[in-house]
Amino acid sequence: MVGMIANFLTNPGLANIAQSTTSAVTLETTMKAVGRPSFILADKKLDKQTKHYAATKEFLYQITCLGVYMALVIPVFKNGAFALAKKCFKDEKAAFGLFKNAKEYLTYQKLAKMSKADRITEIDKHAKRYRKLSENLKNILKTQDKPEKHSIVKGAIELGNIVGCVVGLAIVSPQVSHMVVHPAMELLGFKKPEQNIKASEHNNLPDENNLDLDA
Amino acid sequence: MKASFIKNLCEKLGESNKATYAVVAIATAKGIFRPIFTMADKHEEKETKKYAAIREGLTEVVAIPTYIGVGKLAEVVAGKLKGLSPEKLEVAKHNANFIGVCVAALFVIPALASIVTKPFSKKVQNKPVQEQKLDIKEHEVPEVVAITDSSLKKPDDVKQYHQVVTKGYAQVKPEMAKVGAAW
Repeated sequence: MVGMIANFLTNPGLANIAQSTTSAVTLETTMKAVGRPSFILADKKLDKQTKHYAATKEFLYQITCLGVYMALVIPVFKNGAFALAKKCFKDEKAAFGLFKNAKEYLTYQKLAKMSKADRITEIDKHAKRYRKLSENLKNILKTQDKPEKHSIVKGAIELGNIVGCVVGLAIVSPQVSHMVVHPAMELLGFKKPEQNIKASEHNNLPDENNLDLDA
Repeated sequence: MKASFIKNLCEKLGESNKATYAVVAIATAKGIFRPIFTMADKHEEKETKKYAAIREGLTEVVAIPTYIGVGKLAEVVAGKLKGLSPEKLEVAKHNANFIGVCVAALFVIPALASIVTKPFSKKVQNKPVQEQKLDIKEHEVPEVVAITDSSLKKPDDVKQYHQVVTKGYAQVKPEMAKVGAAW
């Protein structure tokens, strides 16, 4: 049992996800999109109509967040941060100058983590996949035992991703979901549960059952 | 100065980027912007906005220490695993931090936020009822004019109106009031 936990926790795939802001936020939002509606549906205190309404709304909100994040934030902020850092950190020209863009660096970094033998096999076996990697980088990866990881480049990309997450999930997504979720709910034939409308109108308060779980 | 701070930050993030950093940054921004957006909504009632904004703010206030705490706790638990090399132990701690953040987002924060905001919600839920009574007293004269002018033609309605004035609006059904924002 402990061995299984240890294997799971030291899994390199999980480590790659945990090290990357993009993967971590994407996975977390996907989990929220699946998990939160499930918890709402499992709540025995709520009536069926309210549960379906709240669960669908929560699902649509999280999916909108994910869509905005993946379509807009990831490409813009990842490449933007790389280009900006390349311009600003002039004393790190040697590191930034090696790579054309963020994507090339991330491919390089993924390969640099492997052992030398695995790296060579991977590059030769999937030549098509790595065709955009410059010959210079391929040469470094094939000849050096421990290629330089250029942490500053990774850090700049991650900082851009964090700023992108903040802008995307805290500022853009709520606005977009405000425009998308209600029409989508109507399109799906969902109406605000009657009981909740009455309650909120009488108390001048928002719908309590409309579980605003977003954190 | 600024450039060197950002450079140091980039170097640190490049060496070790924890899932906690992103989620705490998001929660902080949400804690600031969501209440602002809610208060800026012109279509909602003032009391509704206040309630929603404080609830959103409180949720994020709960979320920030929870993300940090649960992430750290998961790291400590992973650090107790035996038989791992120092490098693998470091990877395990890092991955455990990420799992801790996911658990916090899915289970701990909704539960804690519900506990923290519930007493507050109850307190706010009682408030509009009192305000309704106050509003009615303030609008007493215009309502008399409006009701008598427009719809209280029948003797029964006049009787109902007297009941409204003497017993107080809070005890009368909302359907009886023809005018008044409080309803």
